[in-house]
Amino acid sequence: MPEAVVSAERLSKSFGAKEVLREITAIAEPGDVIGVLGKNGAGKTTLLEVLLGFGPPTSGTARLFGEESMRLSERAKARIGFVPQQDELIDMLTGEQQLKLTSVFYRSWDRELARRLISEWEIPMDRTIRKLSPGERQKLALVLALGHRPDLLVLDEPVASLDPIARRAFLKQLLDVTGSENRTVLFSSHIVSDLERAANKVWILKHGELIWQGELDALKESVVRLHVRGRRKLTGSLGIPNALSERVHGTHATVAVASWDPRDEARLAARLDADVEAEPLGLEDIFVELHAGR
Amino acid sequence: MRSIAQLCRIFCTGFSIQRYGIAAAGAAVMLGTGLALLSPPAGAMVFSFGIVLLGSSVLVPAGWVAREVSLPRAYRFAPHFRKKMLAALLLVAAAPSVPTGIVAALAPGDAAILPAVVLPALLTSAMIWVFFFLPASMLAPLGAIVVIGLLRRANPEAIPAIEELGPEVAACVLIAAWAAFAAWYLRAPRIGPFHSRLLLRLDRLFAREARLPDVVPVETSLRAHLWPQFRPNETWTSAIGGGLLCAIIAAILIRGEAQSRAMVALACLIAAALAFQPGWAAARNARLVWLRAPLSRIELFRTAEAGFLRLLAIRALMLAIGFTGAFVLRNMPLAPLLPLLAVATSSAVLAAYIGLGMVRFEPWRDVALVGAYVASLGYGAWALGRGESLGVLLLVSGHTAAAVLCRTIAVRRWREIDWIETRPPRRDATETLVKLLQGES
Repeated sequence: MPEAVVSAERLSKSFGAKEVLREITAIAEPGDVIGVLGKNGAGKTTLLEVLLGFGPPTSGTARLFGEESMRLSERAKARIGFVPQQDELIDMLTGEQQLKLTSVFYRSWDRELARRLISEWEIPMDRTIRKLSPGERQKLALVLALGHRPDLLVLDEPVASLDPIARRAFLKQLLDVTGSENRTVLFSSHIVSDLERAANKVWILKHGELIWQGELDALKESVVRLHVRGRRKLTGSLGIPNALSERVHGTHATVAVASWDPRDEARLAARLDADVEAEPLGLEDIFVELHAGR
Repeated sequence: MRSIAQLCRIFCTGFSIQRYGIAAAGAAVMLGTGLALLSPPAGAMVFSFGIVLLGSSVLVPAGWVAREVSLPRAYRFAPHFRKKMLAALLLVAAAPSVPTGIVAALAPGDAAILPAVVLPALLTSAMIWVFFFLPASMLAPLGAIVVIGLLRRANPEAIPAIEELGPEVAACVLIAAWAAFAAWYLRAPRIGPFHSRLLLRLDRLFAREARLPDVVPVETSLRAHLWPQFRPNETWTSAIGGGLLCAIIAAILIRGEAQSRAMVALACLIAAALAFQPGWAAARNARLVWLRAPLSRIELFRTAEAGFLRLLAIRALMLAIGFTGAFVLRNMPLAPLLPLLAVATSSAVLAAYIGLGMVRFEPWRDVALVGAYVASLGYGAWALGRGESLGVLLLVSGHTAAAVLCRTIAVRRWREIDWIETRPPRRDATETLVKLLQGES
């Protein structure tokens, strides 16, 4: 089994009385492209930042490349690239100066890659950062995170400020860079379609808890929407195990179910005296269903 | 009306420091009332302190809160948002005039009501505008004082003193100023940021590292990230400190002698207290290099510490050269300079360590620490003003011991520094305000 690039064990984080992360246990292996999904305030940014050692966990452990996140060695840090949700660029500098100041920290800085990305993304490097648009700032922050070809790339809402064309270009670039080098990418996004396009694994956060982690395909196979057409009026709860949401209208009901096993279909149809049809769901629908109260 | 009242409440209690100030002021008022039974003068002093603390906690940052609430452009679409904001700001500005007006009306004799109503409103309004237009506005009062002072020195009859203008003129000025502000505020396509050109030029002067060589050493990059030279909002302390010292040196050169040594000392001490900002900024900015720099948390602390000590040494040298030059030019004795420089340096070092240690806000401890520091500055001004050698010695020793203690606290806090807590708040955190305003219109 390969060494985990990122691992969290029973990780919790509180700010005063407010518990933001609750008992999170998760790992990311080399080559994983993991999308972190959650509503606003679910704890995505806090999770990423605790994993990166920006703050101590209240309990549990966070490790990167086998080292405790709060005490990362120089070697481990050189293998990490990070783009925060709000870029942390220095307004008074030009893009060129910011690039120079950042590149000196890394022995493995790839000038060619940085130049190529700057040219492809058309970032005006001679302008002061204060005068760049939010999208240009975001692109510059991405170049700074990718320039040293990190083994772990952590991106917090990386495409939020980009236009659709730049978003597609960025995602293509992300897949090129990660696919060829067995790099691990951990990124959060509100844009489910982007996440669906780039990620092979998903972590779904709800109220600070990790309610799903695993392969994206497995998630899609596991969560389905059942259309139940009864021969007589359906009443009350249908009592379907692992139901996420349930809507009953007369003889027709739709139920979103997690951990669905297709072999249960016939058994359920017999029990309810109804026709049951399972509809596969896209990630966006799954996300909505996972957040719907029963 | 409810939304305007809600906005007033936000302006007066929006920052946590305001709420702690209100709590501390309430405690002081109650303590003063109780103490008055035992010792009326002491009780009156504590009570007055509580009232002043209450007023300053509530009113001083109100302009800043109002600016922060005004900034998001999306708020323009909230119904009557700007009008409600303006109404709330006016109410806050007028609030101090109510008690002073009542007191003046009830006072025996012919107490003038108009000055009692106009002057508090004028002062509060000025504070609101200064904080609203920061950082561009910070040079305005300083510039006005220097220019008016120099003009009055040149020709005392040319510019009458404020008190000679009379409350009627002050009231007209106040109304005109609010009308101008309202006309701008209600129509401005966007609010802020308010960077003055002069400040941006000053920033460039301070930003030595902006002229980067072709090959940048890691140390230069670290300094550029840790220190506030590149951030317009963070260089304002340098400008205030520098401006104060220039004003003092100009006053010495013009007047020939420091007529009020206590005032000169206090101004120097305020300039020293501004050393708090570099330490505080470095603690926050270290987040930028945590993942990049090959340094642990403690090594980052040591880098920040070495940087501010270097910065303070340069400033102390500039201070010494400036004062020595001014004293020599006016044939003044140099002996009083030594204690002044010693106190300014020790208090600057202490302020910087307090800033470095303030990596997370622990309200009561930090407020107590800052309170004790400010009290020590007051004592310093008194000791320097009276030429008390023993007092100066005590103060320098006290500041040095406190700096050692604060360094120990800072090291302990940096080991577990939480940059998630110090992350700047997102603009969408105030979205609830829009919902509130929309819901009630």
